[in-house]
Amino acid sequence: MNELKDARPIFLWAQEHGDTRIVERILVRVLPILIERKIELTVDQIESEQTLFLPVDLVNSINSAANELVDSFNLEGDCRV
Amino acid sequence: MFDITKYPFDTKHNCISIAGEAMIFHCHHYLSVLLRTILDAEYIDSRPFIIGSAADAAYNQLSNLCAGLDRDQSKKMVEDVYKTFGYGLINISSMDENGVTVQSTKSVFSRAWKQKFGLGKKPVDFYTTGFLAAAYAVIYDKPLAEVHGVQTTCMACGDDFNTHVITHGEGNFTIYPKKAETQFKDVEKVKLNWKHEETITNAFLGAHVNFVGNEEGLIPAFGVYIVRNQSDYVNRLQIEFVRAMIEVAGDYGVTLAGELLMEAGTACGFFTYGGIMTSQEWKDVILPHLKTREDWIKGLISLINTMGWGYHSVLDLSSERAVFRNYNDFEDLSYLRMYGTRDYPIHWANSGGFTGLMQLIFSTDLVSGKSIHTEEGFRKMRRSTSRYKTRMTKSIACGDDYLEVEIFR
Repeated sequence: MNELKDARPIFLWAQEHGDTRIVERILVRVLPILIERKIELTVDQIESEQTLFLPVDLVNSINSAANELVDSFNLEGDCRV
Repeated sequence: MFDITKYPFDTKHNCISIAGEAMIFHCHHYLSVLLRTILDAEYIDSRPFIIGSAADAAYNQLSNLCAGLDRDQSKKMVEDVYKTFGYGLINISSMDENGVTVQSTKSVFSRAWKQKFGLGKKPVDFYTTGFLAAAYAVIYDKPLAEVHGVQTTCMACGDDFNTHVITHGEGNFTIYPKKAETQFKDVEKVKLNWKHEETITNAFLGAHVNFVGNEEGLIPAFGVYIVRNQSDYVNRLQIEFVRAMIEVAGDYGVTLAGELLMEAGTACGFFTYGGIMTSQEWKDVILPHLKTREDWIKGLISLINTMGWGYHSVLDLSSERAVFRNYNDFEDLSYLRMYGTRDYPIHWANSGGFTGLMQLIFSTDLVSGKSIHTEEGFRKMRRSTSRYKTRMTKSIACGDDYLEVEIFR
């Protein structure tokens, strides 16, 4: 029930492969779950701490959001017109 | 019918007003990232306030522009305005008492989304739905609250054209109360204090009239699509999004939303300012005056002070830290018109723009002729650990005399 999992590697992977401010975008995507669990994550916290253990279902939601945003980022087009 | 040259630049307040609406330029990067930021929060029903924000601003402006015109003349005026401002092309000749169905293959909003993000899942040209709803309300004298607007097809989703259906009936977007008049802050300005400022500003003063829609109703310039927006439309989007995020998550919602709203401004600053600083106009008029990286920032400020965003200045300036000001910035003035005062700064776009500028000048080789203004260059640089941080320190909406922001690393 209370199983925890480290979410930090997911955020770091997303930063490495995704768009700018992708961590904030992931947090916006999963915000209702964060609020429900009374969890407030910040970018500084994610970047500075060694691990970030969170409930497994929340980590799964973070993982889904991260994958979706990185996938869509790789489909983006040219920036110049 | 619509003539942009009838609306002179206000040199005292560094702004442009057209038929009762303050106008500002934004690029397609800013508008697309702003919209994506809002739509990312799928648990917020944002469609009513996005369309409502557009309808409110357009209604006020079109009411003034169409005053005294008959219906056919008004339709022509609406089409001209839409094209001139760089939104694309629309034909509303079939509009009647019951409404209108408009199909268009030229929309900057759909084109920009598709170009920047690839195909979307849902229609994204909310602005045009709101604009058409406002046009119908003005031309056929209907309350906005009795107008229903929906976009049924979108080129950003792979459709061949956009379709907007406007009907008379139960309204389906947010209606806003009447706005206050613009309240400028006429305080003594700390000027840029750079000997070439006046030369450059005078060279570009009035140049904004050249930024009008082409045969496709688009304004390609400096490598981006420029759009001439009602300031209150864009800024209401920011504020309504923040309000919705507060409802979901309180102060934490403001923090998250603010970071992403600033990111939209940073993208704008990076791409648009980067485009300006690699343009022929820059090389011809401004580059001869530039010796240092700091000069590049002051050269850009001297130019953009003619674009209607307020009077920008910079106090401290080094690669490690800068303090920028904007007197009568468009975001704070919009906030005062629409919402009154606030207990925290609300100028995310300005602040992000300054951040993008600092990154361009001090974190890239742009000044030495190497243009890192590609999407990939932007991504790599923004992922860098040496990126700048942004602190909004003063805001007219908070009772201060000007906007002030500190950029540091």
